[in-house]
Amino acid sequence: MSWNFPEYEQIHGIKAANTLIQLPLWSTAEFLAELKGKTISVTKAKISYRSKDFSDILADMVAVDWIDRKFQNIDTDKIIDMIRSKIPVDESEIMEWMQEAFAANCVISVMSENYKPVGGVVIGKSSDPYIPGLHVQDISFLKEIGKTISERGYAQVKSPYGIDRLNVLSKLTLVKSRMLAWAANTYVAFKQWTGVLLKWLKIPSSPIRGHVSNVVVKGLASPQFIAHIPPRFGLKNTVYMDIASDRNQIVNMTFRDPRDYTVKLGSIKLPLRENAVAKVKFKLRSFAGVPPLLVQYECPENGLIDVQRYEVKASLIPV
Amino acid sequence: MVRNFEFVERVDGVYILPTRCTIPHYIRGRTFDRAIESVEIGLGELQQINAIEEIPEPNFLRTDVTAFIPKRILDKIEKEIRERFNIARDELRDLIATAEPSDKKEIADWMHDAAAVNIIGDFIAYNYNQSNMSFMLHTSGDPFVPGVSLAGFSFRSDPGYKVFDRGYAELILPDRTIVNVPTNAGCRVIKDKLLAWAYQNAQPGKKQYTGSIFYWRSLAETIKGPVKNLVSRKYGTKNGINPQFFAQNFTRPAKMLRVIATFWSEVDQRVKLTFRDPRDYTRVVFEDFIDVPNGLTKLTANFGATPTTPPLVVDVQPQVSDFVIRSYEVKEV
Repeated sequence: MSWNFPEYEQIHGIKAANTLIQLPLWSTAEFLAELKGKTISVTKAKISYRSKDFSDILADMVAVDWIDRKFQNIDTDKIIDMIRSKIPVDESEIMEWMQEAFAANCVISVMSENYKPVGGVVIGKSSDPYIPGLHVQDISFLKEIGKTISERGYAQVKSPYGIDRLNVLSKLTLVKSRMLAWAANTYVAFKQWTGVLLKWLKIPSSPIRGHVSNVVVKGLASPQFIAHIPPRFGLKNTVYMDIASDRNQIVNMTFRDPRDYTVKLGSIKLPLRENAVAKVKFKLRSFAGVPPLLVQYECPENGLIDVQRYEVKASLIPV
Repeated sequence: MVRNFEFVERVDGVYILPTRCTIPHYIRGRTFDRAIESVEIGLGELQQINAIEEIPEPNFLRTDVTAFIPKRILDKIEKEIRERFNIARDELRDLIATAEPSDKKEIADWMHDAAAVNIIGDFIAYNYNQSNMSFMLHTSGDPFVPGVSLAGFSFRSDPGYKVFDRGYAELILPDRTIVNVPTNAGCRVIKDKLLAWAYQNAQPGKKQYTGSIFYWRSLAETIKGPVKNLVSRKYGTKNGINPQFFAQNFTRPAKMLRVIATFWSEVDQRVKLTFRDPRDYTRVVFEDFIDVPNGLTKLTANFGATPTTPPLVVDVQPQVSDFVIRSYEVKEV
């Protein structure tokens, strides 16, 4: 196995930590280079549904033992009232933005703990980007006050790839050639505002069995990523996936080039049902061979998903 | 070249991001053991190049503290910053408080301190990350609400008065073990695969306080040239000075190596040097103290081992005040 990128590199004078995928030995540089400019055909998915309550996803919030395990969640809306009652605003020390940031930090903790056992690493943080400041590794918000960003309409996210605009009270997925991150803004006051940053350091490779979930921070759903790694070279890959959803929603699955995440090679839309696990089967075909891929899940309707299984079978027969 | 640990390591069923460095290709297994067992280190005389009056602050660093201060605040306080490369944490906190005072609605007192610590931490990490493979991570904030965590390290969410009464905050490590961080002091975290440092300043009767975590994810290395600009800052009391860690490694086998290092120190102080095994950071190969005079000082040291000098992790802990490793270069003798 080899990494798709070096761990660190200087980009525009900034030390950048890349988002890494482990590639199998059979996917040589020559093989991947041949795929340039080609797309991958994705068949329509066959889906069957099994009812199951979505609230099962838990992980230890290791730093917060005063929140009962039953309140642990990956959706801030489900824990914010409890946080407000336990730590009320006192107009001397505890301010409103801190409750929002604390809720976001709790759900990020649960999500990242679930991401580790399947082989992934994602780190994140929520705080006020003005003071005390917010950065996650090499990405940060520019240190501006809430009034400035609300009047202008957007906050600025700085990364080694430059500055991106995040509209006020919205979310932004940062898919750069070698970096995957997510930013959100959940609260704005005169000076203080709450920012959320997530950065993926290592993408877990298929086969995956576990809980790969996203988070919802004040109604804003983050994306989630896994790596589609065929066990061997094949002209056809069959994907078997179990994915749970907390609501009726259509999830976009985008397949990207692991040598440049900005290159889309295919996509598929999955209709998911509320409190149900969808058993999904679909096929990927390419006459040059199906390469390893980055899979991006995006929930446009701000719902939660939980990928419980993702397995790939490779075949040399394309039909 | 290989790294000493995997990207992610599993320790007692828990996944951690270890502190990593490069192990040169020529040293493996028993050769490594023999080299570590036979290593002999001779620390030479320290030679003062400039007294502190001649070089009052480490202005040779890549960037100064002002690069990390929010522009709105910097515009108000820039003229009052006397030492851009060496501003004290308390002085910076007070300047931020005058520029952006507490308003009982949005800005609270603890944020001034957290902002000052964050700015100094960013400054330290930025300078550290200029070496080839180096990657230091840092975070500061209130451990109670909204919480302080960094790549698997987390302060337990306890209110400040509870931490102050108890005398320590609990820092949960990525392997789920807990270390106690004493109030107004620093705590070195040296595990077999992890190097970190934490600090907290809980106050009596206050909920909020500042917790800070430094984590060395990838060590600066001498393998492709000298290591430069490693900053240790005094965060409060004597024990509140962050250490610095880096890897002393060399591209080819050599029975004898010479180290030429240049330090900047704010005062005359004793500095502890510890050389560690990069396969297990808790294994100390050699340790000693050096008495560093104020200003710029040059140190020469010799390393010998059979069959070859092994890679080592250097742990530098100043005892009294601000300290900078300006450069640390390894040459074959």
